[in-house]
Amino acid sequence: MLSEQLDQLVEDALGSFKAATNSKSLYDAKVKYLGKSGKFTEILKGLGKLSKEERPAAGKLVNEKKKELEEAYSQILSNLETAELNKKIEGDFFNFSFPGSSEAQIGSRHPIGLVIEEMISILSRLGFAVRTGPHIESDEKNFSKLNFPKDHPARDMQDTFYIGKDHVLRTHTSPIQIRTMETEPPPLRILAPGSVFRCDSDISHSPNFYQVEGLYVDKKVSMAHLKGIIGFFVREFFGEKTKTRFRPSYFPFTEPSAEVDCTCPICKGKGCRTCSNSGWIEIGGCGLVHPNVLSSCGLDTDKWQGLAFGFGVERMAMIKFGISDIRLFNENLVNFSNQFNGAL
Amino acid sequence: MKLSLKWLCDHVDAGEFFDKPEILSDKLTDVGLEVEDVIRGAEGLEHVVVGKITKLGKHPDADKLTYCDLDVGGGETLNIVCGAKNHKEGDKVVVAKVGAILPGDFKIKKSKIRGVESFGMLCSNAELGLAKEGEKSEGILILDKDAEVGQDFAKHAGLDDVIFEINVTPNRADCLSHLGLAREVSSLFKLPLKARKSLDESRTKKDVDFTLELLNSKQCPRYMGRAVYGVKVQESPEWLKSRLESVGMNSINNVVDITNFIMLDSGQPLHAFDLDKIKGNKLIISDSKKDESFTTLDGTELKLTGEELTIRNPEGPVALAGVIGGKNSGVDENTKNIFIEAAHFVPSSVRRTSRRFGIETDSCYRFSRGTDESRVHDCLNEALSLALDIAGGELGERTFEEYPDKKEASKISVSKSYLDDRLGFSVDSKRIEEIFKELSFKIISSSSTEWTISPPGYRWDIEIKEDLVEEIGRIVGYSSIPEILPEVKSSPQNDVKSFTLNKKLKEQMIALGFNEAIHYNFYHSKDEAVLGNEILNWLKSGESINISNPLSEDLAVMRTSLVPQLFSNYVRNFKLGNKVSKVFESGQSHVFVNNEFKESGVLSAGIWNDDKNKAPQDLLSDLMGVLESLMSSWKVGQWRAESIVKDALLPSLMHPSLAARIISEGKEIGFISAIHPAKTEGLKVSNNFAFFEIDLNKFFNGKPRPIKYKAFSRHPIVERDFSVTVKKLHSMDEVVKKIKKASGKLFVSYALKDKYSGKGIAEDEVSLTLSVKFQAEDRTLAEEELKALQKKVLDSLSGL
Repeated sequence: MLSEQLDQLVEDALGSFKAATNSKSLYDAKVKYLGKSGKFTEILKGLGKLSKEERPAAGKLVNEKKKELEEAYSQILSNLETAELNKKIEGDFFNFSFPGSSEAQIGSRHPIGLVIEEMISILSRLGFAVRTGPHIESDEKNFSKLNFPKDHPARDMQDTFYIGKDHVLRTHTSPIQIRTMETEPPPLRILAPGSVFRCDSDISHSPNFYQVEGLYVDKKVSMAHLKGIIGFFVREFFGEKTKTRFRPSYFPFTEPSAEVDCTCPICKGKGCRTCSNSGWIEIGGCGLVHPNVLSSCGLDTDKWQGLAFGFGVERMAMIKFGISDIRLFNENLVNFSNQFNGAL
Repeated sequence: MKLSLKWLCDHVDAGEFFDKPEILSDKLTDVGLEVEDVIRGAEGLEHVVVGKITKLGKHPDADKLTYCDLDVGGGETLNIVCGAKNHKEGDKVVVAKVGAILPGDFKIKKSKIRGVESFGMLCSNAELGLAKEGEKSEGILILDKDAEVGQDFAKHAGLDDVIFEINVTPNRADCLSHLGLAREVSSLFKLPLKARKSLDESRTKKDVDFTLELLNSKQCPRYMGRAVYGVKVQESPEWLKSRLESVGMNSINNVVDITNFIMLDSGQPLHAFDLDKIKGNKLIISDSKKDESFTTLDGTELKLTGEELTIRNPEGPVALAGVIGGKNSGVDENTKNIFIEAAHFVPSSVRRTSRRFGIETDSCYRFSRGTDESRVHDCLNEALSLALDIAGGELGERTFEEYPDKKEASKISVSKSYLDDRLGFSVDSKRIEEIFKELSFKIISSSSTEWTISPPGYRWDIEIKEDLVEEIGRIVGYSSIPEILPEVKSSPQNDVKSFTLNKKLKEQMIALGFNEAIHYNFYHSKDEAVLGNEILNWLKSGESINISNPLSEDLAVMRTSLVPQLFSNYVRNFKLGNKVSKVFESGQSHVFVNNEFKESGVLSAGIWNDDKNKAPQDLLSDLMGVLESLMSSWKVGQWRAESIVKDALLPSLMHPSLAARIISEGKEIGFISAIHPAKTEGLKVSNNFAFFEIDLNKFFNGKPRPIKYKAFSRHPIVERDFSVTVKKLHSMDEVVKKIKKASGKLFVSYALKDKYSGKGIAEDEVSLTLSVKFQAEDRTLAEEELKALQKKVLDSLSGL
C-alpha cells in the first residue's frame, strides 16, 4: 500500500518537476512535494499511525524515495539553470571586428635604436661589451691619437664640425676606442655605439648619424679574425646566405684597411636598384689597428695587436627595412615610428 | 681621378680593355683603386660609320626629301632617304646603319618612306648625342674630306675612349696620374711599361743672367727649372686639347696645357713663369712676409701671413708654392720666354696655404697628398720636350736645381711568419718575393723567410711592415683571407652601466605606449635654440655650446634640452594629422659649465590629444602616471612634483599655472608642464600638449636598486571610500599623511576615485573621493573594527 502510494507520489512529483519551465516553477513544485507541509511530510506524519513493527521499514522507504526525488530535483534544477543562463547570455554581443582600445597600444622603438641593439646583441655573443663616450671630443682623441697627423689629407675625408679650435663633434665613435685603450688593460673586446657628426646633409647623408664600431685587442690578431667576426655578424644580421667581401682601402687608423661589402640582401646578389645592379652593398670599413694608434694609447706594439671595424647604423637600417631617405630617421613622424613597434 | 684608356695606352699596352673595360675596373677595385664609374665614349654609336654620298637625287614623291646612294665601305652601298638640305654629292657623312641604336634608344630599322625603301639614316650632331647644350643642329653632320669611308664613326671622331672614374684613397696619391695607374696596371696584368722619349738637348741657348735661391728646403726639398726662349703661345694642337678634354680639363693655351698634361700624365704639378716678368733676374723660394699682398692668376687678392711658402723675386711673391701662380708672372699671348718650374713641396706646407685661403687647385690637391721627389727631373724634361715640340723656341742651356738633401729610400724588413700571422693565412715565399718584384720594390736582402725591401720613390706610402702586409694581401686578393673567429680568451665584460640602464628605461617607455624619437644633437632651428636657452637659463645649468662651422645658422647650437625638438615634433605630427600620440626621446644634453663641456643623459616625453573632452590637466595626469610608474619601478622612495608659482624666468614653452618641478628624494631632477597656450597660437595645433624632462644622470644615480621581497598578509583587503573637501592647491601628501596616521599599520594604499569642483562647493575648493585599502597582517578585519577605523579616518580628515 505505502510503497504503491509512494511510487505514485514520486511519479507525480517527477512529472511536475519536469513540467517546470523555470527555476521558480520548479521550486514551487519542490515545495509542493518536499516542503515543510508538502506531500512527503504528510506521509511521514501519517507513519505514526503504523504499528511499531511496521514503522522502521516504512520510514526507511519514505526517506529513500524522498532522497531519490531530491536528487532528481537537483539534476533538473541544474539543467534548468544552465538553460536559463544560456538563454540569458544568448543576447550578449561583442563585435570582434571592432578595433581594440587605444589605451593598450605598445610604443615603438626608433629603428636606429632597434638596429644598434640588434648589432650589439649579435656581437656580444662573441664577447664584445659596450663602451660609450661624449659627443664633443678633443681634436686629439678624434684625430691625432688615431694617426691623423695635423694637415694630413686624410682629414679631408672627414668634414668636421668644430667647437672652438681644439674640440670637434666626434666624426666617428673611434675616440671611444682610444678612451678604452687608455683606461682598461688588454685584452679588449669592446663596441662603441653612438652619435657621430659630419658636415653633410642630403638624401643619403645626415649631419648627425649613428655608428657602431668594434675593437678587439689581443696578442695575435689577423685579417682572418676580422673576416670571421664580420662574416658572422653579417650572416646573423642580414640572413644566413649573405656573403661578405673585403676591398682594400685606406683609413689612417688601420693598416691594412678594407671596405666591407655584403651581398645585397634585397636582391640576394642578383642586382637591383638598391645595390646599383652590382649585387654588392657597402656596409662598413675595417682593418688591423695601426701600430701608431696602439702606441698613442700606451700599448706595447710588440705585445699587442688589434682589429677594428665600423658600421653605419642608418645604412644598415635602410637596407634592412627598405628605407630610401635618411631624413626620415630624424623627422620622427608617427606614421614612420608606428611601423617599428615590433620586436626585432 | 679620371683615367682615359687611350691615354693609359701611351704607357702600357692596355688595348685589350677597350672591349672589356669591366676586367680592368674589377681588378683595380679589387686592389683598392675603387672604380666608381666606367664611361664608354662609343656607347650608342655601334653600326654608325663614315659614308660617302655617291649619288644624290630627289625623292620621286616628296619634294622635301632626297634619295642618296651611300658608299659605306667594304663594297657596300646603301640607299637612304633623307630630309636634310645641307648635303651634296661627294660629301662624307655619318651613316647609322640598320641595327644601330642611337642615344635615346632610337632604333634604326629598314623602312619605307613614301614608297621608297631606306636602309639607315644620315645623322645630325643631335641625333648622335653630340650636340652641346642649347646647340641646334642645322642639318646632318658633314665630315672632313679625308674621313675614311667605312670607318666606325666613334673611332673617326675619337669617341672610342673609355673613361674610368677612380676613387683614389689619400695614401695612393701616386695613382693620381696616368703613369701611376699604368704602373699598377703593368704589375697587375704583367704588361711592360713603355719607354719614355728623352729630351733632345742638342740645340740650346745661353741663358740670360738668372739665379735661383732656395731659403726653405724644409718645405721645399727640391726645386728645379729651365727656360725655353722664343716660344709661341697659341692654341694647343687637337691631340693635346682632346686629351685634356677627355678627362674634363679645359684647354687654355699650349704652354699652360703642357704643364697640365704632364701633371695628369705623370702626377707632377708644374708651373710656367713668363721669364721676362721675373724682376731682378732672380727667383727665391722662401716664406712670405707678413701682410704683403699677392694677386693670384685668377685675380683674387690675398693678404699673406708670413707663414706661406712663396716663390718670389726681389720685388715680392710671384707664386704661392704648389698652390697657385701670380698674376704678375703668368704666361699670356705675348709671352716669349718661359721658365718651367718642377719642384717638390712638402704636403703639409701646401695644404696649410690651400686651407688658409680656401684655394683648391689640381696642383695643390696633388702636392698636399704627396708627389714623387725622385721624378721631378724626368717630369721637367718631359714638359720641356713637349714645349719645344708644340710651342717652338730654344732650350736654355742650364738646368737650375736646388736639392740639398736627397732623400734616402726607406728600408723595411718583414718575415714570412709575420705576414702569415697578420693575414691569417699562409702565402708562399716565392709568391711573396714575386709580388715585391711586380710592385718594383727593391729587394735588398732575402731569404725564404725574411726580406728587406726598399719601395720605389713613388710609393712613399710604404713605411712600415704593416704596409707590406696590406700590399701582399691586396695583390694576392682579400678574397683569399679565410674567416676565423677569435677564441674568447678575455674575461667576460659587461656593457657600461649607463647604457644598460638606458636600454631598460627605453623599454619601459615603449611598454607605456610611447614612441621613441631620435632628433639631431643640435637644434633644428634658431627658434628651438631660443627655447632651449630659456630652459638653460631657468635651470641655471650652464651655457649653451655653439658649433663654430655649422651647416647653417639654424643648425648651430648643441641641444641643452630635448623639449624644444619634442615640441617641434608635436607640431609637425599634428599638422600631418597625427592628433593623438605619445613620444619620448632619451638623449644627451650639452652644456658648458665650470670651463668644461658637460653631457648628461636626459629623458623627455611628450603627450598630445586633440579630444575635446580632454584638458591639458588630463594630459598632465597621464604624464604623472608615467612618472609614478617609472619612480616605482626604479624603487625611488620619495618623489613629488612641486607646483611652480609665479616664476619670472619660467621658459616660454611652459604654462605658468600648469608647471611643476620634479623633486626626487629631495633633489630636483626635472620638470613637467603643459604647453603655454601662446606657443601654439597661429600654428593651427591644439593646446593639448604636455611634456616632462628628467636628468638621467641624477635619476640613474645609485640605480638599479635591489628588489627586496617583503612578506604580505593573506588576510582579505578591505576597501572603504572617503569624501573630503580641501583647498584646490592642497597637497595630497598631507591628506594621505592624515589617513596613514589614523589607520596605522592597517593602511595599504589609496586611489583617487573622483574629484569634483563646481556647484555646491566653494570656488577655491575641491571635493575628493578617495578609495582606501586596509588590511591587517594577522587577522581578518571585523566589521566593528572597520567601523571604528572609518570614523577615526574621517575625524582626522575633518581637520583639513
